[in-house]
Amino acid sequence: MNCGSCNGCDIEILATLIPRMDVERFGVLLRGTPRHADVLVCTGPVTKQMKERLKRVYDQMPEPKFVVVVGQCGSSGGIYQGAYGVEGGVDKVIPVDAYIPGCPPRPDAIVDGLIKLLAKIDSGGKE
Amino acid sequence: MANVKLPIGPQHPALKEPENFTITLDGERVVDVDIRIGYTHRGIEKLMETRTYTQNLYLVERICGICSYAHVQNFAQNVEEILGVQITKRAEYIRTLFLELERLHSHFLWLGVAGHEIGFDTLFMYTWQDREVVQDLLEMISGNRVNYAMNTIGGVRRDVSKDHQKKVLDAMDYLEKRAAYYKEVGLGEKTILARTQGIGILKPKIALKYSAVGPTVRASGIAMDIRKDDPYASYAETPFEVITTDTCDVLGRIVVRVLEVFESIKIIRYLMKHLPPGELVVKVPRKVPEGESISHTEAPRGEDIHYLRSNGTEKPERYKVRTPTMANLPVIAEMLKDSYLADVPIVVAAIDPCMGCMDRVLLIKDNGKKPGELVDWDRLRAYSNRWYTQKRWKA
Amino acid sequence: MTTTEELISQVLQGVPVQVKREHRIFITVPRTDLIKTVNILASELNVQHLSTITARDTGFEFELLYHFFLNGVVITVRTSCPRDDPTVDSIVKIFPGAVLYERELHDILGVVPSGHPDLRPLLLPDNWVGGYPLRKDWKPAEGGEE
Repeated sequence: MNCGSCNGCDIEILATLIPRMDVERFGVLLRGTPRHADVLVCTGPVTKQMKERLKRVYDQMPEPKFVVVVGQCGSSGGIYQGAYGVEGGVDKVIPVDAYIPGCPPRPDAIVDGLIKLLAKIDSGGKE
Repeated sequence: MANVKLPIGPQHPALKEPENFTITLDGERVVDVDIRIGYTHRGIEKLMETRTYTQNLYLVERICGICSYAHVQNFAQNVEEILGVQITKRAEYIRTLFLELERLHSHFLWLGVAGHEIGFDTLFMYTWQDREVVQDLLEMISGNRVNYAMNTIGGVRRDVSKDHQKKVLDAMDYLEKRAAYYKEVGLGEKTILARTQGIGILKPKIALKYSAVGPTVRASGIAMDIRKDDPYASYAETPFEVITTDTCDVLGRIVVRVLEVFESIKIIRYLMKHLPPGELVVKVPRKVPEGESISHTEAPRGEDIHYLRSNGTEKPERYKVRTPTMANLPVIAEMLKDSYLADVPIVVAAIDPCMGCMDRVLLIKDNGKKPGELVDWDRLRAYSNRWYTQKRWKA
Repeated sequence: MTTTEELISQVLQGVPVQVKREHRIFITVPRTDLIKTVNILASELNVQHLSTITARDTGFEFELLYHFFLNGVVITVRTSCPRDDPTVDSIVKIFPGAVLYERELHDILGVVPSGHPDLRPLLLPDNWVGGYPLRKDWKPAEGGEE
């Protein structure tokens, strides 16, 4: 979910789907709706416009659910800290389980982060 | 909580949240389209006033992660103009290289996205796989796949070695073959033609009336391309053609972008074969004297224009950015008037919008007489693909 | 660009025309002459492309720059309006492409383009009560949504 990003991270996330990275072999499928998703992947600083929508999307997800933030901006507001249109990082609005830093992180780093989260979930759920 | 459903049926008056797209329908025909932007409005222009010119190089790059370099180019040009600085020819060539590599990656990206919008996920996989060749070149020279941090005020920060030059030329040979393949597929494949030929018509008069830009207008026969109209970087020297078609439809927008890939390859080959020796940077003062300048470039999506007002300090007084997508928003409604709802996804995608997610669409049915429906973009896309499959069966 | 400069001087008699550099011309007019000037550029010089409109708080007034593009030259029409009466005429009837640019300057600077058909917020949230961010006297503390 793009919360206000420049699209840099979004493109690298989509790039994990192509044969070169092939994130699907790890059991990760891209879903367009929160109702069928287990993990919410967020990019971008949360803009004031997106704050309520982000909360709503998170609420629509069935338990158990997890949130992964991709990129600096989602982690902390990134380079936009102090901008009037920006609320801040994603964890200012909803709880976050994993952060994948980078501007943007490479597709391999994104896959790596997702796998680490999946391993954590497998080994004992939320911590 | 898990039972919250996407609102379908009567429009809830309590649902104050604005939608990205509000489409008014009469049966299956689009009567009007209203677009709501602002979801990715971060407040960058104001933020730029609080940062130094050097810091702003990195901020400006992140206005958009796809045509980021066009923005940095404009920024550098603006500051350098007020400083009265002339960068070296070598630096100019390297900047032009990046401008064209960006066009390549962006057009391949777009082809994949367009393919996805009409249900052709294979096209997405192929084009994005090819695009990785460009990403590798970008990373090889600049150190990053996205947000290259190549520019500094006064030149470029990294060099292109002889080895890089060779690798770039090899990559161009490969991409040229791939582009030839996509040209064949685009013009020959019946299913693509059915979804794009005659769809999303934009008459030249309308395009000019709304000051639209980029491949969107070039597909309506308008030869507007800042690289030729008001040359910057090395474009006055590098040989290339401005590509136009006159079919005025989505197919035209595909054809223009594919043919532009060939032109970009031509330019890059010229740059690599004629790269002049020289320094990468010239020294510049930190404080920029009072003044103003305007710079525009032909980003992959069209004219990107920046204005700078300086005040004698290290920070800009005012910085204004108008991205190409903004210039094309008013014509979306015109292109969709009288179209089928099923054409919405591809027509919107055809302007190559650089907005945040366009995830929610509000459908106003029968000009407001029937209850409205809130759908997400995935559902709209699925509807379009189903609609066209059924149409094929009927025909 | 001598030719374009000459043409402009011909059709806009008495208006100061500044050539900043090659391909960059600036014309300054009072806001009461904005519509007349834009009309002349469109009808006599066949200016068709409006790139964008820049709005700026100079500290004592609001400056507006209309950036047009003709034959490779960026022609900027400069005008201004006072803080206590921040209105200009909308040029939307002559250049429909101005529709979003005028909404934007209304959002961020509070300048009212009178005659504009749709001044809903373009960039700022609908529930924004935070004032006009690009004004020099704007403070984030007073900003934010309700």
